[in-house]
Amino acid sequence: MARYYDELLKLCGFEVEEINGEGSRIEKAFQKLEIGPEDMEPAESWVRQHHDVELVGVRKLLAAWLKELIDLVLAKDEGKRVIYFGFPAITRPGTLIASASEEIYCACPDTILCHTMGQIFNKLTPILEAGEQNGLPPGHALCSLWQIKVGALAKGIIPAPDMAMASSYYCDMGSKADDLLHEIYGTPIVYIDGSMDSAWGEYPDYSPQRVEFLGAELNRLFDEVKEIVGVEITSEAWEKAAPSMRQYYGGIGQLTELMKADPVPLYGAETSLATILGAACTGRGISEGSKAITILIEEVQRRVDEGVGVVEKGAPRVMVFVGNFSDASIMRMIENTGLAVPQTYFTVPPPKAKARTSYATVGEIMAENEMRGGLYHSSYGAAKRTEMATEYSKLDGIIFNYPFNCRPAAQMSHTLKKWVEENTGIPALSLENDLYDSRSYSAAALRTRVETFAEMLRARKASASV
Amino acid sequence: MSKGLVTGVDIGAATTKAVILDSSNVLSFFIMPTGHSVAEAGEVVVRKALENVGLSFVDLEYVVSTGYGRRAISFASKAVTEIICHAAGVSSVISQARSIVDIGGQDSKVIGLDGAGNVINFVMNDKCAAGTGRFLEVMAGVLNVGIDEIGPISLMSKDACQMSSTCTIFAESEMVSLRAEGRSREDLLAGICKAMAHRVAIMGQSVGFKKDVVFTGGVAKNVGIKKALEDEIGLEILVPEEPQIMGALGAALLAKAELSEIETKRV
Amino acid sequence: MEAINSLSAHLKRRLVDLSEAKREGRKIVGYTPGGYLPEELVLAAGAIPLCLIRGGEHSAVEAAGAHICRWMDTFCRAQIGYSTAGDDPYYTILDLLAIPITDNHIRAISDIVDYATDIEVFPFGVPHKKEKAALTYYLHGITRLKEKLEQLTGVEITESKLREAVYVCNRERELLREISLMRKSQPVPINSKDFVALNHGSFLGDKMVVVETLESLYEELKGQAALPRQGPRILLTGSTLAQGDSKVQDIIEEVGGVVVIEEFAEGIRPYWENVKPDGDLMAELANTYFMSRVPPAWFRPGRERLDFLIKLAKDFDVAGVIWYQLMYRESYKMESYYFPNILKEETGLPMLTTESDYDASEVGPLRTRIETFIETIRR
Repeated sequence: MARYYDELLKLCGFEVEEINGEGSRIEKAFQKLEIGPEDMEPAESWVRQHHDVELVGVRKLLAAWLKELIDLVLAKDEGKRVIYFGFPAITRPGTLIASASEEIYCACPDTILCHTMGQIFNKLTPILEAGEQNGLPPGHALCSLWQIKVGALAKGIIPAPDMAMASSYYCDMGSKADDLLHEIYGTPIVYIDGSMDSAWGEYPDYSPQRVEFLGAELNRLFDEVKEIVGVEITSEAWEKAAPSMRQYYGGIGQLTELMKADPVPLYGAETSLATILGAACTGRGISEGSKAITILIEEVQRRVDEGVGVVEKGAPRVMVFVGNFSDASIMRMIENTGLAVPQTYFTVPPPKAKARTSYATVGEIMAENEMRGGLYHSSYGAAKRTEMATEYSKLDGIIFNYPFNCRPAAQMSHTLKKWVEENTGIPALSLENDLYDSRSYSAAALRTRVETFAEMLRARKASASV
Repeated sequence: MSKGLVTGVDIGAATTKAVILDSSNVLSFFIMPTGHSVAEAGEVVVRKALENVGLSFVDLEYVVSTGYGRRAISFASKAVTEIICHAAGVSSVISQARSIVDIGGQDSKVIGLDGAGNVINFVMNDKCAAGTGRFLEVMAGVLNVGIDEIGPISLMSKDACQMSSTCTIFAESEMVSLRAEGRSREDLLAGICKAMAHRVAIMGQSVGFKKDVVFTGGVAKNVGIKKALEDEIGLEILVPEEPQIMGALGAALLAKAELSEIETKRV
Repeated sequence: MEAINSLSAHLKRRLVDLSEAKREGRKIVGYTPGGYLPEELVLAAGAIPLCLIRGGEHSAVEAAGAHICRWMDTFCRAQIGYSTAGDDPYYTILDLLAIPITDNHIRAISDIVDYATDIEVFPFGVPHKKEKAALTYYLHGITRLKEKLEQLTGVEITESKLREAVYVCNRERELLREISLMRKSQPVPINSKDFVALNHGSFLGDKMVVVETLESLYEELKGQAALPRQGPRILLTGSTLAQGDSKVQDIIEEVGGVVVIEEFAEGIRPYWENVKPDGDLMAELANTYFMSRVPPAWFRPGRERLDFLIKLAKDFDVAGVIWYQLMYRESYKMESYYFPNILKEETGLPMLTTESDYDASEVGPLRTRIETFIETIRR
């Protein structure tokens, strides 16, 4: 018997047996999410327009996100201990915690909602509005990702968690939103703190004290998890988590390598689907996502071998800092102006320099990793990593799409562009946008700026070849 | 033998412009209000410009559209952004141009050029009415003067009003209060010009102003704004003879370049 | 008041005095407000601390537009505007700009001034939680600052010099505290604008002159008749109260309200606790400056500050709370959503939320709202 969601889920990579096996869960989840038969056709059309569904790997990635969404929405009902973390997350703690027990569901719920309710169903607005009405009003440049979290909780779409990890290291707003969660729902919050006080010009150096402090915070996190949720994080959990993370990140690395080809063989929205899974999920999103990436790598390799691209050969290559979480039409618009997007900040390969010191505790190992990643080190670190990316992907330009409502990113709105231009000689576009809510920063609104930038890059390429 | 007849059409939010070129000269141009149908305006403006010189659509060999409504022009061979087109248009008439200030009906931009007329940096405001022609329209309404009168009258002021509002809506109320206080018309209008120039100068800070600075768009015809801008940025400002058609001219020049590339490939 | 007038005159001459001091070889160490820079260290090195607490001017905020988008805290953008202008005397006079890195807005000042100007910037981190590891990190930061100051001045910061400085700064804090506490009485002997001016003066003026001023003012106030004000008593709280941004205080006074106590992260000196002048002085500095003080809103969790506000409201017998913050300081914006309920539950008091982007056109709407609020609590 046909169910109303069969076609959409098949389009989004579900096998028929999977839909059969999970039917009642899917229906319960859709009910909570206020998704009904009337939403199917618009979603199918939306997905076809903005995702390269010709690739099985892409469809499986969409399936991974949807499976994670279902698990998120039903977690409490199914008796899990629910732990949330925020984005940008120091994600390895989440993975470690989730690996420690089958009883735990651990994820970044707002990011999951963006990639599903936004990118697939285009039904994020009611959740955003609920967030605006429940503590994060418009007009103050408050983070829309937190509006989504608060709104989804207010609407009862996602369960109130048993614990929240505030990765407040980087973002002040996140901790405040978690304060709000505590006030309203009584949620115990564990704040992971750090200090971004490295001087301009210091990266790739960092002080051991910075690592020790963040490391101590992360180690303490595991103690608090034990106290609050009753689950102990042991070395077994680390051993369990490590291989799946290695496989996942290994896959991302391979995909990024393939994107060095000209013509670029994959759309930016698809690489984002793959990379952000690691920032938001610890469960099926990762396990299913890894399988999807394996399939995708094969398909993309075939394209590379056949010289098939999604933008024409010789198109200017740009790094777009972050692919829009909720609206894939924006990345597609960038590609429609004739730009290839082989890279985002999240796929810049790890620095070649080995770790300076060898740390003994899990927390410190993770903390050192954060320093080397650049973004959590400092704005200068982010700029240097961008410089590395220009060499790695042979970039012709950078689109620094900073979210206006993200203070750590917006604070480098002009500086990053200027520094990158000065130090790499390639043009950078400082493009103000909203990474999670495209109502005010739609593809149409951003188009003229991106198109102009594309023309500038083409003119440079043309005069360079003269 | 091809005459190389091309057109550039600039569909702005307020006005639509067309420029007709052949292989050597600008043959004609036309400016009209955009009205409610962007597609219709695009067609009408080109037809009128062609009629002026006894030509018709069939004679056109390449069309480039630009401006806010550029993608709605079905007969365009190519759509190019107004920033690129303004750079092309301005550098063709003023080769020393290094900065362009373009103030249109509903948006404003500052564009940085290199010596070859290429865009190297730009910033635009298309969200806020302050710093656009709309601001002047609203103020002209409050003071009951014609748009064309604003500039000349403002130059007579010896003591421009200091306006504190950054928003057009609040500036309107502020203007009403200042008028009620008995400030003279020229002082009020000079204050308006100053406020507008200030907004544009601030927007342009991240791009910077280098000589020669060229002023384009309908508002460039306003001598009061020109003076206020010069005072703000401390540099002389050049205004081309027909500042409003620089976008369309640039589009036409790009059309000419595209056509000549096609013909080179043909040969 | 005599003492306030003479402090005012001293501040008017300050830049001239500082230039002269520079000529004599003294170093001027600027720093961003927030109360996390132990001035004792600067004084012990023989240098002159200068807190960059000016604000209120929209032109400075606009000038920052060349370096940063508008969606960051107004006060911090103003500092970016001043420092990048290249000719602002409070910035050109600096030999060093020490920046306790608290939230992303202050970090923006650090990054941009370092990248876009020739001013030497020395950032050091202020964690956001009151815990042992955080205190250790903060201590590490001020230890680095101590070394930097010794390097800058060529003067060793000995224990006795540091102790001397602690005594002076303690006295300054004590006096401010005593004067502030006098406002518990009905009516208050000193108005808020003057009290805040003392704080600002303490950030900009010569330390000895400031302490002397406070000593004589304290005597003056003890002896004088109270000001004849009877209006509703107000707790004024928020993110930053800069020198040059007195519009909210002016309006409150004009409509008959009396601010009896202030609580701001930036602009008011944390005067509630003294530094213990014995034992490990660096550890004591860290303890007082980081741990035993009311934290700003970006501390996690933020509840300690909110509890303190409730205590202040009760202790100072206020009739209402006015929350005044600058645009885009999100830590404050979000608290302002749920704090009124907490306040109502625990004290029954009403709260008015206001904000500013240093835009002159805000004054009218601010007056309407403050006036209405004062009227409603008067009844």
